[in-house]
Amino acid sequence: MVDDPPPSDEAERFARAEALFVRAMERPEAEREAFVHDACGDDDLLATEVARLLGATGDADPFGGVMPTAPTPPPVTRTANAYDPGESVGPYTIEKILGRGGFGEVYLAQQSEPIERRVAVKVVRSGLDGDDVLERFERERRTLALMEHPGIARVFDAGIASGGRPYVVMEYIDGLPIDEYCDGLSMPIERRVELIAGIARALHHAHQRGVIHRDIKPSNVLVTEIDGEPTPKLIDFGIAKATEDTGVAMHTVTAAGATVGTPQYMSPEQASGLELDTRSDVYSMAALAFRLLAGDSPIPASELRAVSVHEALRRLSSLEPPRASDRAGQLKPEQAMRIGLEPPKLRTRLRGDLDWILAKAMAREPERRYEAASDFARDLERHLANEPVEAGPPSLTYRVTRFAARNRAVVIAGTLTATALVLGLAGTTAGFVQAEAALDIAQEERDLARAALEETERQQRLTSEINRFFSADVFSAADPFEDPDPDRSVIDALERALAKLDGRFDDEPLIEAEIRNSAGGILDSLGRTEEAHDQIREAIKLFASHGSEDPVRIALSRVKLGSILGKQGRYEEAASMIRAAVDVLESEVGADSENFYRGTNELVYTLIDLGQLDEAETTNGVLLDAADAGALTDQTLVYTAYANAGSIAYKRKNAIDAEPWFRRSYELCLETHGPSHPSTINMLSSLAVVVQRNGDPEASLKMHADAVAGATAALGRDHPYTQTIRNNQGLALSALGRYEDAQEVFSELLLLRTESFGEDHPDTLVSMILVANNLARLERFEEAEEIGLRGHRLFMQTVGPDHFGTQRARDALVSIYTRWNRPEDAARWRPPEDAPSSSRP
Amino acid sequence: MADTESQLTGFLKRAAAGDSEAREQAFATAYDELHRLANIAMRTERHDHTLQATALVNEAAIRLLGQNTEWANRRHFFGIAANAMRRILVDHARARNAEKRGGGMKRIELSGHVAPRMNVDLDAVLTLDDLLTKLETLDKRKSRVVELRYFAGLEETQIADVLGVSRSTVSKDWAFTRAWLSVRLGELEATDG
Repeated sequence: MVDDPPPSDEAERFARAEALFVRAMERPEAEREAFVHDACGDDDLLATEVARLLGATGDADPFGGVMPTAPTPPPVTRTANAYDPGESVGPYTIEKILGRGGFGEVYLAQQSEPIERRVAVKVVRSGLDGDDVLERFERERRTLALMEHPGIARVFDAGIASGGRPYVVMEYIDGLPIDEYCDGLSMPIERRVELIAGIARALHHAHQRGVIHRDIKPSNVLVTEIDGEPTPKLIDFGIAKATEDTGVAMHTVTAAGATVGTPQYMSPEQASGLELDTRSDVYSMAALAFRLLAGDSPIPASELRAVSVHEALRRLSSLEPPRASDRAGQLKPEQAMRIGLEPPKLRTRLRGDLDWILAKAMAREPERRYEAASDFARDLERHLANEPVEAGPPSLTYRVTRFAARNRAVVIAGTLTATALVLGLAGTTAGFVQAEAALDIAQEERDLARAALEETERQQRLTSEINRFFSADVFSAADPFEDPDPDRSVIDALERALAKLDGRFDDEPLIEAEIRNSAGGILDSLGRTEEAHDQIREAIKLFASHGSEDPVRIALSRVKLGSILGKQGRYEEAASMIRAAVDVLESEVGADSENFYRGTNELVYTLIDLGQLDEAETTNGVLLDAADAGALTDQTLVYTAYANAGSIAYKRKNAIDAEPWFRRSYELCLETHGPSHPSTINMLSSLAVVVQRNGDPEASLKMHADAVAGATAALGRDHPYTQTIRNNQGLALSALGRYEDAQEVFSELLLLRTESFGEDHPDTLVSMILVANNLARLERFEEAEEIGLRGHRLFMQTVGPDHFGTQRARDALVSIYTRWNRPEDAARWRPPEDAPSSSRP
Repeated sequence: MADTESQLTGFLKRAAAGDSEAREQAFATAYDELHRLANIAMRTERHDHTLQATALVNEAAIRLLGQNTEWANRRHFFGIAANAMRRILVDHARARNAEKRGGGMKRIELSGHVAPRMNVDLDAVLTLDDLLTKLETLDKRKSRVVELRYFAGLEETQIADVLGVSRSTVSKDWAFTRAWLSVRLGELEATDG
């Protein structure tokens, strides 16, 4: 090798700048400027240079877009070219290879008879048998030849080449894949919609002749320009079908890698391997439209990349695609600019019509989709003409049902978020017990509401007012004519309705108080603690101002408020508020009342959170004594008290003592509710955590597996509750060093949660962080970093820098970079000791 | 193919030992194969996914060295192929610019679409190439780090392996060089417009 020349002046200055840069990076951000200033003395040039370098550390990879450094695709086994230039396939002379995939190869070839022209010859992978192959190909060719449409590449011929490989001869299209074409020109939305409608019309032409495409994706729609007008053409029509008929089953082709990167456009029924009809093409067509309008495919390739093809297909078959506008809102500005709009504007542009049209065309059940590709085209054309589209917003009933379903999921998920965070990242079981009890309290509240309804007419009226508020005010705001975005988040609707509350119940503060109290409960379960806090505080004020003040009602609301304060980390305030409320309950309804015990239970949680374990133990003793004395008629309170005792021991790092408590709790749950009740499963899962800590990993994993099986059987695989139990299983696997197994669990959960709650839900984000952490353990650092940063960004957007979730995300990044041996990056994410909140981007 | 394979392995071994003639031979082999693959990628009227430059390097490694060759063999190859890929892209960008100046080409002639196909911004390639040439005179190793990262798509551990340094060195080099590139790029943009 050639020796390096002696360092030049410039090189020396470069080296000095680097040395200072490295040392500055080791310091907290706030100190760097001063450090550089001191270290450079009067060398202003150097100081400026280092300062600028430091300033650039947060920049995006300067040439990241130039040369994408995305993980290179895994090497795909290639078969050698079957044909070299000059060779013949049937009567066609090969010019060169155009492309290659699991199906075989596509060549550019020259035809000389009967006419001279260039054609594309697709030679299907060998491995076919049977004598009727040619006949079937000929039949297929005749069908395909029926299609005469400017939007469809013509199929000229088919045959069997020497060597037994079937080939299909098609019109040669000298064009670009539609996504590249549109993005390359930053083509505006309207023009894209026109193109899509045109392709859908072409597709309809084929459908009318009984031909299903089966593999619609950007690279199968090529755009050429004819007289300066973009002209899209569908290629590869019916090829998948033809090959399947000849014995190369679709899944075989897929497994061989033919459709790497394309499952994103596959309909759910196709991913499931079910019978297909034309509506499967409608789905794929819409998925393609989604890619062109929202800037990314409905399910990003990155989410499918890490998993096996088989697993990817399984997931695709069970996913509901996201809303186009939501996906567009998540684009990076430079991605959205390919469509010529900034992400927020693009998002707004897609809201309403285009969202609805795509949602209808991509409905999971084929019968909910457009009947025909032409209907899809017509709706797109209506949109362009500003006429009302056939695809409307989901009906009110549908929305209310969805609200109920989603709210239930969110209520449970919301409370369990704490579980995952607490247990997963801090390592305590307190969250479990809370989540568990929250479920039962919710149940109890529903029972109470029902009882109240029967109790008095006043109560009836109260309830109906509240119901009216939630059904009419919250949901009517979602009227399609009043608001183009019917499927808005529950929170938005609730907040808007609450804003209109002022003055409406001036004569009946009690009703307003109940509404605010319930709204506070919902907001709390949705994770909006600040808003929940305000609503309940307001409710308490109203309860208190009401003539016939009801101290018990106020005390119960204070207990709730206290628990919210606890979630805000204001444990001291929470404890004293709940303590006072419990005192009121004790004097008003007696120390043997259910409400007193419930308040006491809440106090125990808060004290556990506060770390005042001695007082927690004493307080919980009240519950345990009552349980022993048979004074607790409600068994849920009994096993909760056991679990509290277990949590306290666990918090004292005494897992040995904790285990029998959790075991008792679990057994009582089992006895009270049976094996498939969420509480039972939850307790089993908690017990598994403790057992693992006590050094019995096998028993623990068995319990985790049982809990997962139970939850899956009782609630279904997709239920948020099941997801949490699985999450715990993943954590156990990870704790035992079985990172690969844990990875499978975590990434599947991430996908499920993204699907059921959206990407920015706290549960999804928790999963993201867990995936990132685990990837780092697997030394898949680049992915870990990417996901970790995304999780952090979304946490910042949704809950702000001070939320413990955001902090966990930062911790995760620190840990990722530390494992990655990038201490300077780790340092950047470590919270500065002197500043209360981070100033990280 | 088997001949090329063993021949190239031989060149790579000798190049690694400091034989500059062998390095030239290995570079030529890598360049030819990458060029061929890039041409397919550029001209392919349809293909299942856009071939990235880094994917091409990977592909070339598989084609030239065989599917199952060890990383120990491949890393020498990557060391050379990253540089070859850079050359190809730079040559291509220059050719395109010359064509532009000569032919008065407007927005969407097909040959102009090589870049989107390759996922590469050719103007930026030229800028990057200039900055890397500069960087080579200042700190050769850092320019190699960037080359391997951008043109061969290698991860830090792999880069460390190719260059025979520790991963933390690569990490530090990359963190600094990234900032350096960003600052220089900012300067260029400021003077350009």
